[in-house]
Amino acid sequence: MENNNKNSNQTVQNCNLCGSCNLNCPIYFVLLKESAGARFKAFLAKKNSYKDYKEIFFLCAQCNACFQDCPARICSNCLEIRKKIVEAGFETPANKVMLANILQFNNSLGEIKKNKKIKQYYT
Amino acid sequence: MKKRFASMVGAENVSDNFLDLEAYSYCSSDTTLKPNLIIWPKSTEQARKVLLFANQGRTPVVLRGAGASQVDGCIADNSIVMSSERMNKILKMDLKNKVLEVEAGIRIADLNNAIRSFNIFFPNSPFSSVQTIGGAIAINALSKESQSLGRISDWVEEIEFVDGTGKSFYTRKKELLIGKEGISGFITKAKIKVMDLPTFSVTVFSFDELSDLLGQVRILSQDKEVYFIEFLDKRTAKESGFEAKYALVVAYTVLKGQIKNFQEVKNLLDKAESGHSIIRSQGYYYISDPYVNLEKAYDLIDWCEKHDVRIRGHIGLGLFYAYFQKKDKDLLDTFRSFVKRIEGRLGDAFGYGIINREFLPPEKKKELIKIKDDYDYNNVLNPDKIIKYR
Repeated sequence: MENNNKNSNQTVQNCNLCGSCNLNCPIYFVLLKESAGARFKAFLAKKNSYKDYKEIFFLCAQCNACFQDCPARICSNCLEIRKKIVEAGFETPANKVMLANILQFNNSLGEIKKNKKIKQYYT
Repeated sequence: MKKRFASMVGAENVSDNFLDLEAYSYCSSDTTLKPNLIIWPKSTEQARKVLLFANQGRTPVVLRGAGASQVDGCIADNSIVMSSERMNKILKMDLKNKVLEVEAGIRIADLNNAIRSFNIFFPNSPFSSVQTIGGAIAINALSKESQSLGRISDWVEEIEFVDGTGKSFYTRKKELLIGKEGISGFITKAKIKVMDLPTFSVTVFSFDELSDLLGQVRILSQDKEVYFIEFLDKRTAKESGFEAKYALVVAYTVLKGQIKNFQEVKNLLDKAESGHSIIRSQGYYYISDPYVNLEKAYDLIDWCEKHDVRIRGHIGLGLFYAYFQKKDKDLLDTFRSFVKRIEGRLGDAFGYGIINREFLPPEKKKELIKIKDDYDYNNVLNPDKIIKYR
């Protein structure tokens, strides 16, 4: 995947929250709430308060649409922040289940059974 | 209170989760104000129930679309935020008469993407690409197309809204809502006109002297075939790929411009549009929307250049966008005083909200108070936005 930092000469401090990043954010498009969109991640990264809202940074498809749409070419470094959060010992319930499934069943969804309902996680 | 609202709109459409409260505490300005509750109604009936209950308890409700307000228009402390984000559908398309019925929460960019395959579009490109139809109607902002096509008010036929007392209306009296910034009602649906995708030709003019440029604008302003005129300052023109001079990019609705080839026209207009992106990516952070008489445009541009403020805009309308660096926040106040001094105003693109409230014309203030008396006498909707009521 292309490294956003290489293309971005702007820090997230220069984000003025115009919201262009929400325009094509696939997560925002599905959940239709501000807390799911790319702008909220930029807002938290800007405030450096991502530790209190860890799970939000896992609500990201890493598609880079936010960076493409940003007029100021700002990247909120979601992946970097996610890495820091994981290194600090936080894992989302979805991640835990996926890891356990991969170790046990060699796939992230777990045991494949006909008509089995798969639990959905937001993060 | 949350349970009561959940019974009206469904539990999934109400939240007092700390994440959501934080996410709805900001818009596209520098201010953060935390609400108590977020509600996403999905129909007019749900919005009606919410406002009826809020009115009974005199609970302030702040209306929000995409949260793109630059003037603190959609945030407030200790209030309910009612968002139209989940009312984002195109309900009817009458292609013969070129009229659409849409829900208020649809973003203009999404709408235009959706209808482009029918070779039609909604001719109002707001400053913020994420602005919703409801938000655009509430602000009645000028856009670059306004030079030939008028404001958004000219493109709206009917509006459905719920007023501050919880009554719903479907009205042709657009003036109750247009430009009222949500103080009279929550817009739920609108019948809007669309038009065929136009064919342009473009001419680019470059000038060393501002006075020559303004002379050319005066001539172009008389030309009925001009679709819009974009102005770029010297630096922005150079960085956008034009000559290092003041630039005018003039789009015509007929083939009288020098550049007629579709691809070349598109490339040129993209270059002119890139001005915003170029300025923003250089760290210019605060944006203001001065509107001045053409006679005063010289003073405005000159002031901006002297203070290292970047400027571009729709010069044919007299509407500009002035970009300030983050370190120049204090300069914004000086700028506001300057705009007043040259008899200009702010708010024609971003709305008045709280930040530009001082520029509201007195006659409009009276009109707003009258509408508030009729449709929201308990001051539930957007209290303290645009006007201080009671």
